[in-house]
Amino acid sequence: MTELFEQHGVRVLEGLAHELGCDIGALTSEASTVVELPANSKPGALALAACTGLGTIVSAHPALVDWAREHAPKDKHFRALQPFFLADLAIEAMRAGLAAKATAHGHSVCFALSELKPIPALPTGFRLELVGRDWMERYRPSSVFDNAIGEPDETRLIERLVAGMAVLDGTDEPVAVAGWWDDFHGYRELGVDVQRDSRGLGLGKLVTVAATHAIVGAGETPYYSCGSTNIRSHRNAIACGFLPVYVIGMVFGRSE
Amino acid sequence: MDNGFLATQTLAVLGAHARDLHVSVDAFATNETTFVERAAESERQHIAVALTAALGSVVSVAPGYLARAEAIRPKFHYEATRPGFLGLLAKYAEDSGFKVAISNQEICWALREVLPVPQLPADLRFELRDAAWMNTEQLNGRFENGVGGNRRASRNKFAVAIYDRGEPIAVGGVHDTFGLDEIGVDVLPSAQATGLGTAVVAAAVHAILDRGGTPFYGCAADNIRSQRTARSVGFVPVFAAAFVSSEGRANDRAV
Repeated sequence: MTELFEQHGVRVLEGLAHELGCDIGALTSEASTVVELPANSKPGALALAACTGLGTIVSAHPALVDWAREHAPKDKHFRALQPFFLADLAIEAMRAGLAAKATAHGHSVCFALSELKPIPALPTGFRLELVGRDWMERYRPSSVFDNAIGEPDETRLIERLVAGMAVLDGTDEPVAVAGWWDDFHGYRELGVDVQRDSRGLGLGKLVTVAATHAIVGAGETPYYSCGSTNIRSHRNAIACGFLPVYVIGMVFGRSE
Repeated sequence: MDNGFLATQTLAVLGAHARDLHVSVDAFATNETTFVERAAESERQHIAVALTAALGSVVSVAPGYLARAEAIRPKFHYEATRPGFLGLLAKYAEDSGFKVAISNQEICWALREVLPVPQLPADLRFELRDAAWMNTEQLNGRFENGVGGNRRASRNKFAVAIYDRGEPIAVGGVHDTFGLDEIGVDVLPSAQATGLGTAVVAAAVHAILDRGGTPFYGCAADNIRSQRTARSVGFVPVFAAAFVSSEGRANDRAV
């Protein structure tokens, strides 16, 4: 474990504890802990379950806390993230009238920086540019870079966007973008997109590493997450010097 | 990060799984989800098996499920291993009268680079053990992943164990998975967080390569500790896997 990972990993865990509404010590307690989901946590979330490998937290809507305490797997703490528990929690949320429709979503793997990699060389004909919010505004309607600059209706994310690193082609059009935003918890979350026709050139790694340098250079903590089955993104994280810190599963509800 | 060694290892890992599902390995490079009907010879006789690699997914379904699975094809191929899609298949199976379970997602890894085996503290040592030792050790119930249970006995090949004063405290057990050498690892609770998991897996990797085998590592998507071990030994993720089963596993329950 590197010094960088210890430093950034702790900040990421502090953010997680804040989001879950638990003490940071619970994340390494080798036990499963059920707490009340803070009102200002993820919009639409009825429950979050996060596992660091050294402890698991189930953070549930106040009306679900008792049910979660009774039913959370007791033998191995990390089993609280397995499909049956979160699926049953979703059913319980509907039964309790918290949402007309509640579903357990796939897990995300969340990473902290372990090693600041050198920025790879640009392929011929491309250039790298630091881009701001106005630039992002221009390209958002195309939805080509929605992980990096947000989709038009993601107002909460768009408001928090800080900047991005873009690879531009010979016509000054973007082919790869890594954007980052303030994730409420004092760190900068990264989103990455590479235009389909430009994949396989290493541009995803290039913009991610360049963005990581910019974030660290500004004294901030970079943070990366991807769906647990998104193998390409997972590999990009590893190639860019990130290591997994925790995995999180969620139950979301909607009114209809 | 890709290199020739990784490409060879990745192809071997994906190829072995593709053969079991009776699809071409090219199906993992289509940027689409490929649906196939489960072959009678396939080792995995589940209602559905879904594998998602970086550039494509394969879903193998039991006879009678193909049209249904294709009709609910996920928008992006990498959603094929997620509970949303598999849940719909499970619901269809339940409506057909089956009691079913959706497995936890697994992340499956291939070797990117061969890293040196970390040095052990002076009072610990590596020991190579055979399949007979592994199958006897199963009776002690100490190394569930390392030596497996009864059903894995015939697939067990050999193990690297770390010994402390005559007793094993960590095991990296190797067993056959579709012709690959899959590593299962356990460290006794009293010896955890001391780097022995990485050491014993690294030693198992070297032993597999010395025998001309292909190392393969799998862990649950929510097992962060195991993922870090995989990474520290030089593995990278190659595909995710999940299945819908009519029998369930110890970790599953009807949905």
